[in-house]
Amino acid sequence: MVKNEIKHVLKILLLGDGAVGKTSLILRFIENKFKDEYSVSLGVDFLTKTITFIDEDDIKRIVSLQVWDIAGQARHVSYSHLYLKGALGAFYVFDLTRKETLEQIQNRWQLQALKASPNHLGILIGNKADLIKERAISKSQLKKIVDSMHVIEIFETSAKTGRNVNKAFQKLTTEILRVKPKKFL
Amino acid sequence: MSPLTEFKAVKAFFIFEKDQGTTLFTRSYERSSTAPDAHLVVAFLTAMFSFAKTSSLSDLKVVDMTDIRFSFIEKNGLIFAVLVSPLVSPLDIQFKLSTIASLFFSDYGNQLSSIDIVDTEMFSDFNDSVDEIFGGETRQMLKSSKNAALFYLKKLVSKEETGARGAMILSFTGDILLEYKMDQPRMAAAIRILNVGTYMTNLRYLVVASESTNLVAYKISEGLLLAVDGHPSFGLEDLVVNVSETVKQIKEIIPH
Ligand SMILES: Nc1nc2c(ncn2[C@@H]2O[C@H](COP(=O)(O)OP(=O)(O)OP(=O)(O)O)[C@@H](O)[C@H]2O)c(=O)[nH]1
Ligand SMILES: [Mg+2]
Repeated sequence: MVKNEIKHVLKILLLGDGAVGKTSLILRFIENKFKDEYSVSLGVDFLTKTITFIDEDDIKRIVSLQVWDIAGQARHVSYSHLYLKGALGAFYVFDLTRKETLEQIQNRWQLQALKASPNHLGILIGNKADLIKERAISKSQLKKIVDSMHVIEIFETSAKTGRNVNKAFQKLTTEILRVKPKKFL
Repeated sequence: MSPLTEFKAVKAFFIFEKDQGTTLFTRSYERSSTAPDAHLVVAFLTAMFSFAKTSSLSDLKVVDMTDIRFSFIEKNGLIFAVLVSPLVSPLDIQFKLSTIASLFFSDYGNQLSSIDIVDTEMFSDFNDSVDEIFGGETRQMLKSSKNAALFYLKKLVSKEETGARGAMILSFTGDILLEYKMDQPRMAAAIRILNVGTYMTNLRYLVVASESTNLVAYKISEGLLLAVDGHPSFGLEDLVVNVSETVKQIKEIIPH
């Protein structure tokens, strides 16, 4: 018997350079769709998806995931703290076929997000894993970099095929719920 | 006064319901004597919407008057509108409006559906966010970098043999960060053309030759462009070579 139900709103961010696939990952996660054409995101937007589960204390948790799609072009924006604040989690997305997009995660995106939301959990996402021939970063190179980064895990995803997309969202959500003291939720 | 201050000019900002025209939030950046009357503006826009029943987010809508422009986006039945100088980059405005709309729904979304009579006081906390977004620069650029970059713009424009008449550094959305001797109408035209700047992820430079200008836009780094207005009677190749040299110099002084 479920004793109780509790509603949570979890704000999570998708950050990374232009065209790495942030909007595509969200579209895959929320609507299970994929589009080949690139349409640059202008500004920031958020979408919500509700996930329900029953935890070990028999409490029904209704989690409203607020997923923030931050335009890659916003990487120089001075007012970014306004929409980065209050996040409990972040996906740092880079493109496995473009090395510089990984460098920018460390150089820019993580610094910005940590400043605005110091206690969030980060997951690194190497997207476009389906483009095997164009891949520019090897697994061993990645491993080294990840160890020096402030993330709990790395996933190689493909918004195109759907590989690991749900898994990554699930991981971030459950980790946030596990790690965060319940009173903050 | 530098023309820059003029380009930044956002005169007023409004949030109102599309169907009823109920105003939820207004913010004016003019002295009260010249400030537009919020009710008139909203009445005008509402009338226009019922006339032209189209609108969707992602599309910035624009209505140009003599020296003022209305730009607005719609989201979840609300209109987010600004009155701006027509010289302000439409893309930059779209970026800001879209961001403001998301922040507004994130902060007040839950309360909106339960409101019958709107108490606009309720949104007064939103002032600071709006002010920061319209008042702040799109891209931070250190003052020292600005001065150094200006030096190179001047150097380029003073090289007569290239035909360069004016130069500016723009953010990807066309926000002017730095400008030297750009003629205003050509500057406005350049900003419009450079809406493609957004799509320059894979382009190094772009040349547009017309009867009135040889416009060269060169990517300095992700999200940053150097645009140069060249005299149309000069050769394009020379100009491109010189612009690319200037870009190299600017790259060295601007942190990535
Ligand atoms: N092959 C492949 N293409 C992808 C994948 N994910 C995204 N793309 C493509 O990459 C391009 C950019 O994707 P977006 O999701 O728009 O990128 P974004 O990170 O939102 O970019 P900005 O909005 O500019 O910040 C589009 O053409 C997508 O179709 C993927 O996993 N595999
Ligand atoms: Mg996007």
